[in-house]
Amino acid sequence: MKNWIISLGMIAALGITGCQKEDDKLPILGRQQEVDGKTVYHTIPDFAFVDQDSATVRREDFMGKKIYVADFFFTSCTTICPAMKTQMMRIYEAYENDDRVALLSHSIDPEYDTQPVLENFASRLGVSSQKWHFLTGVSQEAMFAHGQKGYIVTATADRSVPDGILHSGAFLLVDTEGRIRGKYDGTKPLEVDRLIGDIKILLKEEEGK
Amino acid sequence: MKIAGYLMISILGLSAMACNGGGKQEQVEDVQVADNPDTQANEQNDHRTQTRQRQYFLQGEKLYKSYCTACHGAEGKGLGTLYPPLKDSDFLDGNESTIACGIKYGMTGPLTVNGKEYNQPMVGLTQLTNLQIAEIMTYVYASMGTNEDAFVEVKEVDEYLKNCDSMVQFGNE
Repeated sequence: MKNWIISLGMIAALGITGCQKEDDKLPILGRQQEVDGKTVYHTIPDFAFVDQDSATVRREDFMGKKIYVADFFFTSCTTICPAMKTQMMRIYEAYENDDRVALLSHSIDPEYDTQPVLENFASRLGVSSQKWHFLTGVSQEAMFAHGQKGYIVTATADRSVPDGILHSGAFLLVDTEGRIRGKYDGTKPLEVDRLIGDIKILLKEEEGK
Repeated sequence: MKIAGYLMISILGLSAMACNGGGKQEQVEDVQVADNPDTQANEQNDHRTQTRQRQYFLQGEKLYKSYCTACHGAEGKGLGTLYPPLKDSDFLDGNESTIACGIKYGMTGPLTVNGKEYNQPMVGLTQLTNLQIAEIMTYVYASMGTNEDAFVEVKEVDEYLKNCDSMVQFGNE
């Protein structure tokens, strides 16, 4: 079931990227609208979550400042999350000393994943809270909605799957304007290799702004 | 859906096993003419055991990649202090029975490996057969432990699993 969803997501992503390759620029994913002759792209809606340090993390912290990679997970997840965290760790290590890149892991089990639980989780991974934010502090429904509407990924409660939550293993690359610039399968090392390369391309584009 | 997946893995595994058994037989070394027939028999026995160990190992490697790498990593290094390492882990030797039970039924509670404490539950893989558990353990012990000839046979796993029928609990006992 999960593979099926991941494949579906990837096919969708491929379909979008397929028609937009020019030079070395990354595509802009999501729905586009024409407003007064200008193209308006899909952007991540406003958010305010609490991270493992109890700090509030908002959309403004990144707009115009940082690009970031987002994913959805929960600490007690035993299926695809460990592989996702192993892969996210690779991105962390690749851009550890580059302040223009952040990582946002959203918990979709915020009731269990309270701030202390996330603090413990992050410290066990041995990562800095300045770079890698583990986010909680809202209802599960709100986090599901943020994933679905903001990042266009699957995240929903489903008793028929192990752990009871059906969710995508996608990593999303977001630029400093809050636009999604890439979608990758966060459980697959090759896809994450591509993401690590795409971050470089995006940083170059951001430098030119 | 999930069951179908596992089924497919098992079928793949079985067909791979068939290949190993048939095509990839190791060359029999020239046996020195021995005066003592016992020595010769022993050598043949050793050789047979070695071949079987090799089959377990290769099969275990495949199973390890499917079931274990997500947390423990392809090289068994683990992840931070979330998931413990298997490579050069001081928990391997002497805990064969606990590990067999843990693979089958899962583990929970704090566990110290190489001086560091871990406390993330491990999910049990009840769908694995005793033979598959023996293969995984052979691979892990031989490639990541102290003895590269380590061989955990299915009859040993049969014994280990007699002493457990639920999740292995560490700590609060």
